[in-house]
Amino acid sequence: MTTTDATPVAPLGRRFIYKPRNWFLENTIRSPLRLVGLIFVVFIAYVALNNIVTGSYRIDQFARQTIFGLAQGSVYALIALGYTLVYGILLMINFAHGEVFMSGAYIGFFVITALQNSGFLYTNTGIALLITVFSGVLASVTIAVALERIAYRPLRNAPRLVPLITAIGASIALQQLFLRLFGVSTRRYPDVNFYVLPQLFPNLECHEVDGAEICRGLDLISGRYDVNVLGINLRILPIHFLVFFVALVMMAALWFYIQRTKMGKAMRAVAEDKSTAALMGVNVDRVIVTTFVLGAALAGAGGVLYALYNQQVTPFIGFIPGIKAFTAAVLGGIGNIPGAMFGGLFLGVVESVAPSMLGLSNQLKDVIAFSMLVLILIFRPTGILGEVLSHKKA
Amino acid sequence: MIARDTLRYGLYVAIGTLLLTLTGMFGTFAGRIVIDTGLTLSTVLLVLILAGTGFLAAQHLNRPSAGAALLNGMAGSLVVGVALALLVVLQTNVSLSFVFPDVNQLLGSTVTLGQTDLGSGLLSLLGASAGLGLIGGALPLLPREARGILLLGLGMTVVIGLLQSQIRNIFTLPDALAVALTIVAGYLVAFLSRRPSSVLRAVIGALAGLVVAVLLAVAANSGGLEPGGILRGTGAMPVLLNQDPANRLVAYGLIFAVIGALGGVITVASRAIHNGVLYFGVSLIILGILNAQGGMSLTTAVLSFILMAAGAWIIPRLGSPIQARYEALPRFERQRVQWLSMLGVLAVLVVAPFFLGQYITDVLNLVGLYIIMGIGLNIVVGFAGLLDLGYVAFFAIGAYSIGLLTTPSLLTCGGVPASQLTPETVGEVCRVLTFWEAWPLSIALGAVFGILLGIPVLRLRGDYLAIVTLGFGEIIRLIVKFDDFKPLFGAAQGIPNIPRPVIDLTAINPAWRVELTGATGIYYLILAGIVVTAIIGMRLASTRLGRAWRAMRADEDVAQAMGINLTQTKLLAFSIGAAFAAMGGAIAGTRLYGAYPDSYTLLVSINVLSLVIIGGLGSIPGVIIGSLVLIGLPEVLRELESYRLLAFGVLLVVAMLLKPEGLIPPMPRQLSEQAAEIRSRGSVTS
Repeated sequence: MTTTDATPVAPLGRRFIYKPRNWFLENTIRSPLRLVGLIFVVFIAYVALNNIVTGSYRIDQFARQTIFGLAQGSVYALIALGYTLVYGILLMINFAHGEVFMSGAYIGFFVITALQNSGFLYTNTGIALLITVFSGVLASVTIAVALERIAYRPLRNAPRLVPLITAIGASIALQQLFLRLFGVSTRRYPDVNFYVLPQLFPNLECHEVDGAEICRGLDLISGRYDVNVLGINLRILPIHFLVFFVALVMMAALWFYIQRTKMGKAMRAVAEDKSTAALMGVNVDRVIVTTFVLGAALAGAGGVLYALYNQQVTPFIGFIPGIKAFTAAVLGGIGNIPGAMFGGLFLGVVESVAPSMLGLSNQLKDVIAFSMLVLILIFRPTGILGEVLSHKKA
Repeated sequence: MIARDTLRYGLYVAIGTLLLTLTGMFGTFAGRIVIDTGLTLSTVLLVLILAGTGFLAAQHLNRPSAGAALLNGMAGSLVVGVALALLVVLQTNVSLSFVFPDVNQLLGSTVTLGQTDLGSGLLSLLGASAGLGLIGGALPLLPREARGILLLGLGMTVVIGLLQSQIRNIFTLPDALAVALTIVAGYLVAFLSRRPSSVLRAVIGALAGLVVAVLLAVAANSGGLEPGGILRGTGAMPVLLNQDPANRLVAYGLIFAVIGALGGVITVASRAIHNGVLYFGVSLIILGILNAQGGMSLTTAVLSFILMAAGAWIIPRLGSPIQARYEALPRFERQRVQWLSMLGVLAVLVVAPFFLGQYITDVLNLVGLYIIMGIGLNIVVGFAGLLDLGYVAFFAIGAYSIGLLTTPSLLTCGGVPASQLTPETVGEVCRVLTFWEAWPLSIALGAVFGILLGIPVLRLRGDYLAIVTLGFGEIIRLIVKFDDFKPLFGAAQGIPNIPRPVIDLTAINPAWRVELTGATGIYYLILAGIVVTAIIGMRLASTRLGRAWRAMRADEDVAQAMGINLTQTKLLAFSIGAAFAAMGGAIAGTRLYGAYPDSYTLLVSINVLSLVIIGGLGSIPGVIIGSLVLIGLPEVLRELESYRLLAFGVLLVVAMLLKPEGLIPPMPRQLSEQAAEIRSRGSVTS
């Protein structure tokens, strides 16, 4: 698509900003589409409330689904950040980002299997898991950098649809290459038991060993515990919390990197205006590569985390999460980093909670996710938190 | 000396080759024979990789001496050879099968030229890469034209060898020679006649064709028109030719006249059409030889190489003056030439299925469906600039609506599920429409859905639009697949038993009732669909609406300021595009005798978008070439199934890197003569 590069000329005098006089009228009567959307939202709220009041949807369901949704959502968020970072700078949908995620999970599988075969996984579980995550990150970063160098850099000045097609091509090629290289059979992550904090959880995982009872603490990876919290009976999988917190830490680190470091500042400058940034002495190529590296690192770590709780790895696991994550990025407002985090978590929770709350089949999970996207874009055409793009690009 | 780039390219190719080797490619392709003497696809690929690296390395030198070119070619290729050799050594010592389960035993395979002993295997691998590198390095030293001729000849031979089992029975040698002779006759007569108009040239060509037909008939004596004679084809005989001898004679003459006319017209046509028709003739002769030899023997290979190389030498030489003559024509005359050649191409397409046989016709049907969709999406994306990733939704709507209307369903049986009806009561309760009644309805339904889905996204731009339309595509698929809607849409089983269209003219003549069975029947339906959509698409481009779309694509705000109603313009683009897709979808439904939810996945949308962009955004010939390359080629190579999608992905990337504007970018619109005059006057005075 051709984008006009005409810089908006600053008008003389005060800039005229249109302010609707009556927010309610503007959004209902004067915009039939929004009216329909509003009626739809009210209807959905009614159905949900009805289900809650009549008791067909219970609070323990809600709590369980929210926890699962947060874990799933944080994986979406980790991938969505990669989309949003690249989009913010290159204005390009990196369609192959889902495959970057997948490659992290895949290479992680070979490393964790090697560690398992050597026994290291059982003697030093924590370090082994760190090594696995790190190797997944490394694989993803390698793929993403190669992708940028081969498929995107030569086309930086081409019309916008062209890199989209190379991205789609690269996505299909990577999927198929992994399929051909590593075989069609589904690979399975080993069952890992990672015990932590025996002091805090004294009554968990107790076994008779040589006549003495030893409690090893919380099993972070494969544990399943039935807990009663505030009178609600819950089955809790610590892995969900682990994924959520690791994701939060990584996102915080990313936020710090972009806001506080020199490279982060350069990235923001390039996102604002590439040519001016270049004039200011920013090495644009390096910034772009860094962006890809950051996005891929998050996706790679997300891939290993996802594989740790999902266990099954195939070359196609990146496709659906990739699309969902892109939805999440758009939902939050593309180019907007907190937006991607928020959008990912939001999408994950809604997808997990909504079907049973509305009394619908789980088959309609994706329908709900996409309908929500449409609804939100009707009211906020640039996402929930708004897009962060310079005027020139919008 | 050896340039650094040489090693770099060598390394890149080496990485790619190693990856492909680890997928077991050389093992898989060793079974595919290209030339009967034992040349396998595996060998061809190895030669291509090694010589190609040599060529790449030498090509990138700055005006090399012969020695430097050869040296660098050899060095680049040796890098790849050494990498492969290391892999062979690695495999003999370590088992790779856990990580790479599909890799074949390399020692003793094509990679080591069949040598089973490690030492001699490595030696022959390195020797081959050095030798092929030298050959590749020598290529840039040849003049450009000679290189083109060589590559075209070799390429054509390999392609024909690859496809030999599918194309072996298309054309017999006498038929091919007859067609070629007729083209040449028409061409020569028209070429020698001094400057008559294009129509006259067509007539002269047609007459020449008729003369050839008579001469051939005489030469083949009185039995020449019996089955087994000229232009019999190998597929089903054309219906006309099956009729009584008088009809057959007319059809026979007509075919030759049309071929001759085509030969005549191309003497004033543009270079693309002229060269295309002549290359087509050469390919026909090669097909004939293939048929006569019964396969890709060494003789066939040599002959096809010689013929193709000769064609590549002579045809561009003929084409250049003809292009010049074409450009000198007045505009209306150029258009007339284009229409005439289009008619000729159409005539060829009409008779094609009688020669091609069921399989290739069916592949063409698939390509045709994608062309219809591509023309529709081209309006949405190419003209109006609205990125639609959920285009398959409308295709699905077309197929499902034709299914619901032409089979006993909730819709046609007044709300009674068909499963509750016995075969006897179905006829009483259900009012099933015929295809011809349902088709317009499903097209209209597609258009309505285009508007319905267009309304919520009116205010969205660019990539927001992309993800929302993608969502719509998925929503439609998930809804028809939803178990609770099983009585209506049939859930995962879809709607089976959609009947084929029946052309029923028994009111006029009791014998005129044709059911469009098999691949051939649907072929004509699709061909008609393409002609209609292509004409609409082409004409729309130059209407007010088409200009409004282009203005909107360039800049929405400016377009609005110029008085374009954005809402209306966008919705029209969506609904016209959707109507085309629904039209294709309806045909697809009867083609597969059913509508199944899993045939309408995101991959279809991606395929259509890719072919539109690969072909050249906004160009209808581009859509046709794009679907032939992206849909037809992988479909014909179905035997190489496992590498089909991989090649598709790589092709998308490579095509965009080499030609970002597409294979056939749309021609820049010519200014009207008045506007051009104003512009030139303006530039003089200012």
